[in-house]
Amino acid sequence: MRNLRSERTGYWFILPWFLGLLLFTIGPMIFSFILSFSNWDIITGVRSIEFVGLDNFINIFKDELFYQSLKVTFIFALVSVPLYQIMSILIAMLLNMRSRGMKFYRLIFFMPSVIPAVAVSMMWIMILNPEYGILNKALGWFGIQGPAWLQDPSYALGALIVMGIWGIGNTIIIYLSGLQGVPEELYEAAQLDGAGITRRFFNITIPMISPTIFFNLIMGIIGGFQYFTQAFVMTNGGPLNSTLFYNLYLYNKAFVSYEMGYASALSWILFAIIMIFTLIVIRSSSMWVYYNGDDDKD
Amino acid sequence: MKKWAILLALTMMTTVVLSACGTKSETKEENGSSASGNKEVVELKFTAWGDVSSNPAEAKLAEEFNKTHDNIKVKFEPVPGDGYGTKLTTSLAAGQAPDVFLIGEGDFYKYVDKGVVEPLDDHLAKDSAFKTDIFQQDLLNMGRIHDKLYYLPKDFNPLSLWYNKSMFDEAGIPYPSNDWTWDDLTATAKKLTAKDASGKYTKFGFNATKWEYPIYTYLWSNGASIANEDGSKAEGFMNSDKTIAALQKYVDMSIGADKVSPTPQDTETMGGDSSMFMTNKLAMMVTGRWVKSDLDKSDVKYGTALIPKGADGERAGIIAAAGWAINANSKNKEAAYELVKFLSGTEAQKLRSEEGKVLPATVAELDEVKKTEVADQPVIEMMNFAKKPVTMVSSNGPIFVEEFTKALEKILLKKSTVQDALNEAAKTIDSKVK
Amino acid sequence: MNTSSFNKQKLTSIVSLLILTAGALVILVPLLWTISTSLKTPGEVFGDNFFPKTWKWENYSRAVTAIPFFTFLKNTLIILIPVLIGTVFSSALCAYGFARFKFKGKKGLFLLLLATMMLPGQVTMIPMFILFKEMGWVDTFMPLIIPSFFGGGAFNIFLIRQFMRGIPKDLDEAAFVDGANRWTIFTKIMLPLSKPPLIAVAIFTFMGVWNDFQGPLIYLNSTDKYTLALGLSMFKGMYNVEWNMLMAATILIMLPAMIVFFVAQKYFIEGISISSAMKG
Repeated sequence: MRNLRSERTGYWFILPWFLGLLLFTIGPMIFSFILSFSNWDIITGVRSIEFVGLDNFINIFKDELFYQSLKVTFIFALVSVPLYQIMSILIAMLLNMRSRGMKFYRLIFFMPSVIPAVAVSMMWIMILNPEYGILNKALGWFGIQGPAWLQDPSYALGALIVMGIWGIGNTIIIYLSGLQGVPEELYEAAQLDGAGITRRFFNITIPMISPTIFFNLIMGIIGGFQYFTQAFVMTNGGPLNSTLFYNLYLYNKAFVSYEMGYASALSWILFAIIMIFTLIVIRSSSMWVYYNGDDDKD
Repeated sequence: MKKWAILLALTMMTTVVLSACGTKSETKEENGSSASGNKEVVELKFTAWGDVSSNPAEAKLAEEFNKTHDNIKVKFEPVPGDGYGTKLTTSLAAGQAPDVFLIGEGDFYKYVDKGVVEPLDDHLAKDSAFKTDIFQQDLLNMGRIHDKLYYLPKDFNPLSLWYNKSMFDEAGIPYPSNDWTWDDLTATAKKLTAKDASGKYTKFGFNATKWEYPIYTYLWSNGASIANEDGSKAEGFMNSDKTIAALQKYVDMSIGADKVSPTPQDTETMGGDSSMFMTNKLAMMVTGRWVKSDLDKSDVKYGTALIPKGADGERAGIIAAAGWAINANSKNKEAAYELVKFLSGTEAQKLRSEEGKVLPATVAELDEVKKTEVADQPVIEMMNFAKKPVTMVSSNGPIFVEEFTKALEKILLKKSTVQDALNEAAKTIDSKVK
Repeated sequence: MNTSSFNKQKLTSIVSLLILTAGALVILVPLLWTISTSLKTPGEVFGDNFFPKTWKWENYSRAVTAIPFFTFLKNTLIILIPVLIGTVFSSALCAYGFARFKFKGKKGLFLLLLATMMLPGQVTMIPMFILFKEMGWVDTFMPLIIPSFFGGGAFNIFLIRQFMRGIPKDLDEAAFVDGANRWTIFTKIMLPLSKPPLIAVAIFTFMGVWNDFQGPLIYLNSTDKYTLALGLSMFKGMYNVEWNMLMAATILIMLPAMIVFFVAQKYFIEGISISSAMKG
C-alpha cells in the first residue's frame, strides 16, 4: 500500500489552493460578514470601525436604489438569458450541419466573445448613437425610426441586451459541443420512424442538451449579478438609474461613496440570492450532473 | 485534521499580515528620517485632472522645480478623464495619495470636510518671504474654509458667453451684445436654429446645458437660487415660484415647443458641445476659457460676450477655479508646502497664462493679460459679477447638487414637471441636511 | 422520391447558409464600421457616410501618443505574464493533488473547491481591497498578480483535474515503482501529458487578464499604472473626446485578443468544449 506515503504528499500539492482559500476567500468572507454589521469610513482606517447591528440591512430594505438595482438585474437576466439561449441553440444547430465553410462561420460567430468588454462597450457607444450610429441607420433602411437607445431610460437596458446578442459566440460553442455529443443514431432511428424536424428537435435534441440548457440558465442569472463593465463604461447606471445593475450599485457604494459596511451588506444579500439559485442547481442535480458519482471510486 | 488545518492557516495568515505591516512601518520610519535629515532627496508626487498634454505647464513646472530644489524631487502624475475624484479618494483611502493635489472649487468643502487637506496657515506664518497678497483676494478666499486657508489658487475661469462668428455671419445677424437680456439671447438663438427637410434639427442657437453652473447664472439673474444663503435649506429656494418659473423657461429652450437648444441627449449624439460648436452646429454656449485650446485647433471663428442679464437688469456670473492642496497625511509636508507655493507662485501663473488657456490667479499677471487679451475682455469682466455656488458656501453643497441634478434629469427626460421635481428635491435635501 | 428528399435537403442547407451569412454580417458589419470610423476625421464621425473620404491612418499614430498606449500595454503584460505562470503552474499542481492522491478529507475539500466556483467575487471584493490596502499594495500590480499563485482559480483546477483523471494510472505507477518521486512524476509525466487543458487554461487566463476591468479599476490609481482596458475607458471621459482616435485605440486593444484567438482557435474551442462537457 503506497497510499500511506502518498497521503501527506497530497496535502502539499493542494496547499497553494488551500492557503489561497483561507487568505483570499474564507478570511475575507469572515471579515466581510463582520463589516456588514458596521459603519466604516475607510479613509480614517480600522480605528473608526463602528458596529451598528442590523442597521445596514434595515436601511437596504428601505433603499429605493437597492430595489431598482434588483429590478434592473432581474429584468436583464429574465429577458437576456432565454433570448441568448434560444438564439445560441438555433445557430449552433445550423453550425452543426455538415457543410463546407462551417469552420469559417464558427470562427466569425465566436470572434466577438474574445473582444474585451471595454472595447465592445466603446464600439457600441458609437453603434448605438441615435443619429449617426450604424444600428439606427440600418433600422432606417427598413423605415424604422430607432430610439435614442442609451440616452432613453425606456431603451437603455434594452440596448445592453441587444448588444449582448453580438457576443453570444461563447454560448454557441458550448451548445455546439453539446450537440456534437448527441449520437447520430438517435436521429437516424427517429427519421426512420417518420419523425419530422420539429419532433426530432423537441424529442431528441432538447432532452439531450437539457443539462447544458439548465446549467446555462442558472449561470446566466448569476452572470446578470456580475454584470459590470458595460454598464459602467456605457451608461454608468443611467439614465434615471435604468441600467443600475446590482454589481454597479455595489461598486458605487463601496468605491465611490466608500460606504464599506453598507456595501458589504449588499454583497451578502447578493450572496444569498446566488445561494438560492445554486441550491436550485443542486436540488435538480439528478437531472444534469454526470460526473457526480466518480468521486467515490478512488 | 480540520483543527490542525485551521491552526496552520491562522498562523500563516497572521504571519503574512504581520510581516506586511512590519515592512510598511519600517519604510515609514525611513522616510521620516530622511525628511527631517534634509540631506537626502525627498520624493513628492502631485496630481491634477487631464493628461500630460492638457497640462503642459505642470509638466514644465515639475522640471523647473526639480532644477531649483536639490533636496526635493517631484513627479507629476495627472489623471485623465472623469475618474479624477474617484481615483483621488481611492488613493487617499489607501494612504497612497500624492502629496499635493489639485481640487476644483466645487469640491473645496468636500475634501476639507473629509479631513484630508492640510491647513496652510501655520506654514504661511513661518514663511515670511511668501505673501498671499499677490493673489486676487476673492480667489484666495475661496480656499478659506472654517477660517483656515486650505488651498492656494492655481487659476480661474469666469464663465462667459461664447459665440460662433461664422454662424452669425452666415445668418446675417449681429453678434451678441453686452446689453443682452436672456430673452434677447433666446430670440436670437431661435433665428439660428435650423431643421432639415425631414424635420431633423441640424443647427442650434444656444446650448441650454444640464451642467449646473450656467443654470445657476440663469437662475441668479432671474432672482432665483436653489439654496439659501448659507446652504442649509432648500425648501422655499429650490422650489420657490421664482426658481420654478426660471427653470421652466430654461428647460423650454431644449424641450419646449420653441426649441433653440439641443437636449443633453442631442449633445451627446452630436459628439459634445464644443465639437458641435467647432463644426458650426452650435452658435452659442456658456462656458469657461478652457475651450479655447480646443476651438483653436479647428478653423471656427468665435467671440465672447457677457452672460446676458435677467429681465430686471441683474447679471450674474460664476467662477470655475482650482487650487492646490497638501495631503494631510503627506510624510513630507514641508516639501509639499514648497511645491504648492511654487505651483501657485508668480512664475507658474505667468507660464500658464502664456499657454493661454486659463486666467492667472495673481493680480499682477492678470493685469498683464487684461492689457494684451483684448478679445477676451468680456471673460475677464465676468469675474465682477461672480456669485458663489452652494458647493462653495457649505459642506452640504454636494447634497444640493446631487438632488438638483436628479431633478433636472427627470425634467429633461419629461418624466416629471419642473414643479414636482423641484418640490421632491427640496424635500429630500432638507431631510438629508438635518 | 429520392431526388425530392435530396432537393429538400439541399434547400434546407441553402436556407441555413443564408441565415448563417446574415448572422455573420450582423457580426462583421459593426466591426468594419468601427474600423472605418477609426479612420475618419472628427467631422465625419458625426456624419452620414459609411467610409471616410480620405483614410486618416495617422489617427492610429495619434491615438497611441495621445493615449499612452505603450505604457498601458507594458503594464498589462507585467500583470499578464506572472499571472499566466502562476495560474497554469499552481492550478496544475493542485489538480494533480486532487486527481492522484487519496487523503483524508479529500472529498470534503473537493466539494469546497466546487462550491467556491459558485461564490460571487463581490463578496470578497471589499475585504480583499482592505487587506491589500493594509499591506500597502493598492496602486501596485500585486493585488492583480499574487492571488493567481494560490491555486489559480477553482475552475482551472477542476478542468485540469478532470483531464488528469483520464490519464491511465499505469503510467505513473510504473514510474513510481521505478523509484521516481511524486514531484518527478508530476513534472515529467503528468504535465507533458496534460497539455490540452493547460493550454486551454493559459488561453482563458490570457483572455481574463486582457479583459479584466473591475480589478484594475479598484486597485490602480496612477495613470502610468493603468492597463489597456482601464486606460481606454478613462480616456473616454476626457473633456473633448475625439471619437475617431478612441475607436482607433479600441481596435488596437482588440487586435492582440483577436490574434491569439486566430492562432489558438483550435485550443479555444476545444477548451470550451472540454469545460462545457464537464459542466454538462
